[in-house]
Amino acid sequence: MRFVNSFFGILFFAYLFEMNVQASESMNHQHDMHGLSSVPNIPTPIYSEKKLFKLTLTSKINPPPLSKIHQWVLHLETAEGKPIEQAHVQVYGGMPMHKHGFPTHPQVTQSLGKGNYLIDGIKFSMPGHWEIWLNVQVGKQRDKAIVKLNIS
Amino acid sequence: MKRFFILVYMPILFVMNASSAAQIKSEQETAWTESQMKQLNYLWIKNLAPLGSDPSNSVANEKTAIDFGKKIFFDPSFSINGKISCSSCHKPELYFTDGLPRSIGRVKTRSNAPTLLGAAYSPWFFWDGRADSQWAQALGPLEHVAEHAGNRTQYAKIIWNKREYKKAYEKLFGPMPRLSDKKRFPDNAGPKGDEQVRHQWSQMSAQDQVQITTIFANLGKVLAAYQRTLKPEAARFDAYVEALIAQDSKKANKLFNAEEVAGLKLFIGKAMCVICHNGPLLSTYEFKNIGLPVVKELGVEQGRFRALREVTLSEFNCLGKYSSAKESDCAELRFMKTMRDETMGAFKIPTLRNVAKTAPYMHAGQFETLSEVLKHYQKRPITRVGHTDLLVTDLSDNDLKKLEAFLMTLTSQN
Repeated sequence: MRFVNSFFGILFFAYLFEMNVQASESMNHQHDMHGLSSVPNIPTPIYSEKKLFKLTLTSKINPPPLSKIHQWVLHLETAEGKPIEQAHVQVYGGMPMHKHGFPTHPQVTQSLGKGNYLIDGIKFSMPGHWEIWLNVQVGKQRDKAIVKLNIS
Repeated sequence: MKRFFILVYMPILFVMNASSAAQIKSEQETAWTESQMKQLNYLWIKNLAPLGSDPSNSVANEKTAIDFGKKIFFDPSFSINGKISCSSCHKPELYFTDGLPRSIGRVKTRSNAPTLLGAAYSPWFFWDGRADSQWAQALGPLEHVAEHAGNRTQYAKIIWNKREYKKAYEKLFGPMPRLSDKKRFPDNAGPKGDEQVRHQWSQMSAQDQVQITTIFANLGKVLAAYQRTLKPEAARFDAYVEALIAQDSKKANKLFNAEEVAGLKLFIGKAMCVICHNGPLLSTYEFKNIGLPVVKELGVEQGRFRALREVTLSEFNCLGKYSSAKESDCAELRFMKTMRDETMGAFKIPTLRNVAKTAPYMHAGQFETLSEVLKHYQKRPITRVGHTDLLVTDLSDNDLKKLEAFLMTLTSQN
């Protein structure tokens, strides 16, 4: 009887501590600055918000480097898959979780033909969840796309 | 029997469990998640990449340039009165700072002297980033009226007249022009300085001005070559991270006490310090407006916003004729952020390496102690110009103490 009482007493407290450990781990996760597991890598190609354009974004350095300015190539098509040659593209972005933009001002510096555009000036100043925002204008059609990525 | 259990076993069980609880709680407090370990690894000084080259400075890694630059750095003859050297405000024994709110050159300046340890890793120099290379930065104080206050022909002639300097210079950059010709090269001439100095400069031919300015730019390049060798060593924080990575918890627990661990957890967590103070040097070297108090003598400062024009027009920038870089090497300048909203009132994020030893703090020495700095982040005051980059963090006084305890672990031997 004595043994049984002690055994259940220990078991009960062990259960309480386990609950405490789990709660604490859960809190730690909430405070992680880079809770990245739920953030997808670039799904390519992606569609712009109004589905007017199909975009593929590729870093010229793979994986994209940290703290170094580098180039990306944007491939732009109509929703039906026809390459777009005469687009005006603005590039912004940043870390929405941290409420700051890129440390640089990226720009499309060259049209490479066949719907490809060179984006220069991209810089990721720290690891984490970044977004690249693209405002695309083709003639009178305007649409935007957000590309989400993890940088590590 | 029951009574015996309640009276004897229950207290024993309670003590046993309380002791296990304390142990588990302590382990929880010092344990790190996988995600947190990734962050700590990124802050570890062992992950500081080699500096590499500076395309705008062809002698950046030359030993002759490093040795020559070091001599000039400590030589007060490169000033208007022979009393001011770079080391007057960047003292090695004070981690290359001077311990003053705002440095004193010829007169009191507008800026606090930042540490030079690791400074070469930043793409921008000065607190507002008005120089885009370390050599261009070095030229600023040399002819600024409040700092060294000398002039370009004076400096060129110091090199010309000192055998050791001339020999090193010519080894690096080729023959110097015949500077003994006083008609072509007056003793004191330059585009800055007093009226007489500027007048003498205006009387020189454009070609001779370029020759002198080339020597002046090269002076900056050897000074930068030396400063590139100044890097912080590992601190207790790095030893702690190393122990965690090696899964040596016994060693880790000896290196960091509970308050320091808690401070580090806040630093990478709730306090969000790593948003700006990230990487092995604990700075992303961006420009942020944190609503600093206005220093009455300086007025409201535009910071980075004002510097954008200066760095764009500087004859010493990466794209200028005194730079050896190709256009493609000048990406930081070509793609610099120019939006008013993101640059107004912003100043460069400083490294936190050796922060406990480099008081006072901020670009104009607004705060004397780390505790004042942390109070500022807690209060999050309204900015006088531009928007604030400070995020709402809800830090308690106890949190500030923990953060300060952690910051004290970032001190290295040099």
